[in-house]
Amino acid sequence: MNAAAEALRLGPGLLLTDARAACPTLLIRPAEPEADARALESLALWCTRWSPKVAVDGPDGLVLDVLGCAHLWGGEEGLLAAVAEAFAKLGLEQRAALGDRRLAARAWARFGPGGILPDRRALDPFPVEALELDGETSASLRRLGLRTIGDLRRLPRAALARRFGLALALRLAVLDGAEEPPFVPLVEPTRFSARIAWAEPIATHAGIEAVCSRLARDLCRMLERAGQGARRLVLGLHRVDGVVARLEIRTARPSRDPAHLFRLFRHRLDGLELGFGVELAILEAVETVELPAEQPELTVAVDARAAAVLIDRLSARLGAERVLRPEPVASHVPERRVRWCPAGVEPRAGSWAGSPLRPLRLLERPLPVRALALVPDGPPLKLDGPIAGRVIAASGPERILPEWWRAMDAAARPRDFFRVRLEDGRELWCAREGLWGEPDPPVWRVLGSFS
Amino acid sequence: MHDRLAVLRARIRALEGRPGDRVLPPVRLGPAVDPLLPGDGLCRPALHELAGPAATLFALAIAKAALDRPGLFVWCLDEAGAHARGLPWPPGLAARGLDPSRLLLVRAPDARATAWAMEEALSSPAAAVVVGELARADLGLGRRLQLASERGGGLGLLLRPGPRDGEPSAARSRWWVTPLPSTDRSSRLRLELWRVKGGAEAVVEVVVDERTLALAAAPPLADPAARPPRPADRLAAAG
Repeated sequence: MNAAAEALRLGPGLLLTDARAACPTLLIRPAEPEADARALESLALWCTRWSPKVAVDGPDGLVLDVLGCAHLWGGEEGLLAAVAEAFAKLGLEQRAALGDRRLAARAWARFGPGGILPDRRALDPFPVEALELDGETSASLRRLGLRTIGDLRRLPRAALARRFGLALALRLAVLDGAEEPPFVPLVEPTRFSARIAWAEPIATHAGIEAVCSRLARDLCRMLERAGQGARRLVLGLHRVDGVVARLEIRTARPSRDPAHLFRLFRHRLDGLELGFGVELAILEAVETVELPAEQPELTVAVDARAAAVLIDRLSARLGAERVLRPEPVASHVPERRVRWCPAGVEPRAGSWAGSPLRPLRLLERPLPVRALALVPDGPPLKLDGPIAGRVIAASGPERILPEWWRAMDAAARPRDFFRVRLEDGRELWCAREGLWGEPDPPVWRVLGSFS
Repeated sequence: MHDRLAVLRARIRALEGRPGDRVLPPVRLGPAVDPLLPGDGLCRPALHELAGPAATLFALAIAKAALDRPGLFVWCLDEAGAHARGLPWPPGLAARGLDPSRLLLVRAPDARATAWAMEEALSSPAAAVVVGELARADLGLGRRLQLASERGGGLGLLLRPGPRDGEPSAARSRWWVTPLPSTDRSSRLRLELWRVKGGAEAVVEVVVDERTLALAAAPPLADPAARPPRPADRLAAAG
């Protein structure tokens, strides 16, 4: 509810006809709780400007852990003022409260005036609902005439716990300063993060690139001091209109080379929508691993590092799924023998050994051809179709059976593979799928090429 | 002896040329091919162009010889090429002594990205051999790839599918490779060196060893009466 609605005395639970009567020009939209949740989450990300630990709190709240952050805004009053100002700029209404316990701050914001909670006794006149108990408990409290938190405080805690359950006693203990369970922040705060904020938003790509390069330098200096290398980095660009663009990159090997990290981000910055400009940029190393100082003289290390740099650059531009390394799979079926994995991931060990002489290239989709053979089980004499020619030499057959234990192979037929050489010198790998005498006639396919 | 001479020659070239020039021994392809080339082998770092129906086999034979240096074996192709000709297949490479763990496959969405990836890989010191499948490579692109290979020190192989054209190219040598029918399991190739910088064009027939990819001069084919055996006979022989 915003101030305008409040002035018209509109509120939840009101009948639509009454609301229309109070405000004839009211626009009506069905509630979209999921879209609201998404919007709230993006607002939470936007709030990381004040504290790295932010979480969504219920359907309409945000909670920030500002321990050790307030002094950056000139104390707690300054922080609250900054929050109010930033929300006003976005055109959103908010009520912020600051307390030493989340429960207390929440009660102060939802049931009280907001602002800094003066002391614990200030919550005494608040209704028991502020303790966030389940409906049944608060209803029975009310029936007994216990309407405010102050009423509960005056009663012996042990009796309350016996009568209304442990939850009530624990909530009261929290108000008196007991520990609360920790909350799970939306984004895990990182040890390594660099940030730059400006008074005036930057809306040019050149400006953002310069900033990004400086952030990379700052971050790498931190990483170097800690002996760490980054595996995953996130660049958060906070736009003036409240949208936070998050760019994530991964590196093939842990790195703290600012020029390299900057280059990885630069490709991603190219098509980025900057809106009315960016007012805050935060670069975080989300995942880091130990990376001891290296001596660049060691040639092996240089090769591995250069390879990682190359893989990162190719992956950043084309996508990790396009820069691949082969990983052997223990399978006799040719199509399954190789798994192509993103090159940034360390390939699983396996053996290529024991391969008979296989073709140099394998087609992704076997090419159906017609074949003429002398005897039903014999090698082809002639191929016809997309690949055609007389066969001058052939070797085979090599029978490869389907892997019957896989569901997708249940209906597959055994294949006889032949290596054939055509008149024009081309060498192909083709297979006859199925046997004569089965209801379906066999099918010939070309699977690969030896030249 | 040859290697030392080549290194000395390269050093002299480096003294004459740009200071960034690397001194690397050329890629030796065996006595059947080396004499055709100035410097007794394929010069590197440089870009060479291979085309024709058996270009893949020849490219792998060159790569095998050039991977005597440490570094990645990068293979760039685009989606259309992957669909039409298939991907290089690690079991086939491993069976011929090429280590698949050095292979880095770049599947670019289109020809432009392939060219970009090839240039990027060539200019990196990490790549020993970079194969790029590009249907067209104009003079400007060839020049860029050549410069990139000089920066990175690797060998660039431009694998051109499709028919031969007379377009100019910046490649140091240009080959047209056709398979020849042969009677045994080793592959026979006709290598037509139709342009080479600092040398003369030539044609040679070679036999590629099917296990080692070594190139040897092909013995002249026996008289036409010795026809290749019929498949049925071959089958018995292959048993």
